[in-house]
Amino acid sequence: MSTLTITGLHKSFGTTEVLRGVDLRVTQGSLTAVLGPSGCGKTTLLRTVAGFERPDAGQVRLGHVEVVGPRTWLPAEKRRVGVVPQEGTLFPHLDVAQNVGFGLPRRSPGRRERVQRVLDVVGLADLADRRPHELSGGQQQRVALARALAPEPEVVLLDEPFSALDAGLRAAVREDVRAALHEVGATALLVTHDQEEALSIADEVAVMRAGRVVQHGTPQTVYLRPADLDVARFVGEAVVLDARANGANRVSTLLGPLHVLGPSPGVGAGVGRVVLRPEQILIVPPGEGTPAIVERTVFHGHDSTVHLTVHPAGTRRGSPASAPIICRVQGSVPEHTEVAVRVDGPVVWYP
Amino acid sequence: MAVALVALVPVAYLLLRTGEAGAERVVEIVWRERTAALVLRSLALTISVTVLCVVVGVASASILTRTDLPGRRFWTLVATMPLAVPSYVAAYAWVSTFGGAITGYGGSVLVLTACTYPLVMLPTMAALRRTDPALEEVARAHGRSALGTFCTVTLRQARPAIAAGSLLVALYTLSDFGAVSILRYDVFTRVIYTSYRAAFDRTPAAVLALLLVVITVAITVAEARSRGRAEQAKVGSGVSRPPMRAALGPRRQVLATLYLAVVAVVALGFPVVSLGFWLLQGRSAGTGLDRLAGAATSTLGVSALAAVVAVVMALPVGILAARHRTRLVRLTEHASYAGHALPGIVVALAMVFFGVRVAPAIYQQVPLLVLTYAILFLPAAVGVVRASVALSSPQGEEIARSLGHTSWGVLRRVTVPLAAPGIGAGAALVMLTCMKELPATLLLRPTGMDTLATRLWTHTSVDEYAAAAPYAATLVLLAVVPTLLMSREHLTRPTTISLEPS
Repeated sequence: MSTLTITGLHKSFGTTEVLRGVDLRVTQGSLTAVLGPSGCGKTTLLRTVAGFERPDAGQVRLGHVEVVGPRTWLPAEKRRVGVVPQEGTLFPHLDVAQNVGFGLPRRSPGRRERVQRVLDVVGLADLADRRPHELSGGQQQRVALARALAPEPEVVLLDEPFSALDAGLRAAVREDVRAALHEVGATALLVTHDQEEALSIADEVAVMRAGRVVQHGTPQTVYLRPADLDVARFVGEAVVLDARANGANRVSTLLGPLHVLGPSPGVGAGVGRVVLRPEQILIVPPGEGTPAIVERTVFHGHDSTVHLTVHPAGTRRGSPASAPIICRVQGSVPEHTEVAVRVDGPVVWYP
Repeated sequence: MAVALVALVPVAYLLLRTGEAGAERVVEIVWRERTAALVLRSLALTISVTVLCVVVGVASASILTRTDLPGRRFWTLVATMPLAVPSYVAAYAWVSTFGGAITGYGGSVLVLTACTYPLVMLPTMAALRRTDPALEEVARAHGRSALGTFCTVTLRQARPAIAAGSLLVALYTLSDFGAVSILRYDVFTRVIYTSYRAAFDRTPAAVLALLLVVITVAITVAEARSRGRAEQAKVGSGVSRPPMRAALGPRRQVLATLYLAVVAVVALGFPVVSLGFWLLQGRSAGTGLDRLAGAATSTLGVSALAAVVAVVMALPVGILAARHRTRLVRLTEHASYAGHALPGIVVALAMVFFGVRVAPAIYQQVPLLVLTYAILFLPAAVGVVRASVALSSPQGEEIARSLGHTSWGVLRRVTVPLAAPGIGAGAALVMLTCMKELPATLLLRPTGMDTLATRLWTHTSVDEYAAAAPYAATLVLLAVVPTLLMSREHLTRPTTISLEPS
């Protein structure tokens, strides 16, 4: 396994610019999720690394080998890149063992052992004789992973590998795949539009928008310190409030003075906005925080989202000073209840 | 591209041959009163047969798919079997019994309708099975009666399928040569053949052939236009429930069974009984088995050869058509479909001109006959190759590349293994179709070579019905195989292998 380095990748289809200078580094043995809305170019990026698309400019390196460069173009079969497509795409005319062994030389010694070994890794050792149509969706996906891992590729690419699975199955298969990738120490690049998936499975997350990587970091960084407001809104639910700089690391908002994390507004930075996550907002008894009224509660099972309208002391309901916010609670809160809210933890400032 | 050029040779030669005659002569032939009458007769026959086929086909399809009639599987099989009776064999069966009383317009309409109504029935059945029962339930919930719903909602959804079937029937009728010749009804194909045979001057034959091409192309284009963009829109994926069936009740069950039985007797029972009768007659008269064996052997030989050539020609077009939808590829594909709208007699005539002019060495030799068959049945072969190649998805091929296989390796280990069974079945189908082919065989067979179809033709044209019977029976038996396959496809749920998760 090697480090995957992508620099300045450009690709257009006709007049549509899909990749506009993508830079990304996936370190050896780590799993990086490329997260972005549909149409952001993430699948094109993956197909370019795999060798299915030829970029207009840029470089792709696997370890020290340049596979795409100004004068280099290594065909897909020479790259040693494993691909796990969205729907498994197993060869229907071959059984599971033959599918897994597809990338191994036919009469190589140890072929059978290698097939058995990777099937063990994905936990399907006893299904070697099955045909693809006899497998469940999750099993097909795990066979596809085994097939990609069998030839010991430099890097494994996964293209929305869980999106075709049922919600109930998805979490389990996701965990299996993550465990299998870690067990063999694979360098892996996973493409997804599902932020929960990206945050939960990946060591690092690269957020893509309009053909560029706009933020790359650990899941915690991306979630808690998004690079800009759009990233903040895409990576999870966000409460955005108008704010006024109020000294180093301090801003004043509708919810009172708040502590700012990271690049802080200096004194005199004027007005901007802050982002906080719903779980940072706590409901407290009236009088212990900023007054608010419960508008609506949406029940999710594991918790509920409460929609509130904040109206600070001295303003009335419906005045321009009031603002909608959301927070999470266990159980439920009746509508029209008068409560108060308090903010827990620092917020992020955007001028 | 080369394939497309070969497929367009017939049209090119017809144009060339007609062009040489000079505009004046062409206009003179076209404006004859006889030509106008010929056009009217051909259109009358085509329209009558098509309308009747729609009536019989849609009625049968509705009964078989949407009622609780007992024995539906049996009746479906029986109603499909007329496809196995080549039209000229059916014509022979009727003429050999009724003689002159059955010839002409009425007989031709009867025989051709009996042979071709399954072409409307089968696609209609498939469409009626696919329709979403939810739509009908909504119509019923809004107060429409069961029959009203069927006519206004269900059949409307099946309309594209009915239209496609009608187009097949119309093209079949226009290009049918055997039945109308045996029934002595002067439509285009028969007149082209007789004027080619009778006169030293072959210009009228060429001009009439070209006129026939213009008509078939016009019908094809008109059908495509009328289909337009308003296909049935299906929202959501897959129908999970089988369609609703109407409960008939005892009286209507008897009526429906009676209807199906009458159709079956006319389309299947009568030809089979007549054939059986003449077979028995022939046995007492003693027909040479060795001649039958000889004809069967040569039929098999040229047909197998033609099937191989057609599939080999179809491979590049079919693979390209399944993979790359560029303008050039589409054009090539359409060119190879030209044979579909070209009646056999027209292609045969064009190949005669081509043979005499360009390749006299192979004129009335096996190679030219094989090439003609291949051009005639290229559309079928291209369709089969395309569908088979589509079985292996482009994603699967990309994955194989990423697993270290070269494009040649991918072709060998993925594309071909997946496509081979379908292509093989397609080749067999082309071969069986070649074995029944009549007009091209008559015009282009090597001197002294006989196929089953030409022996039947020769005997029938001199009223030796008993001698013709063994050939007719063999032809029917040969055609039963693909027909059974086709009806089985309609009886059981199609189990297609796909690359998608189950």
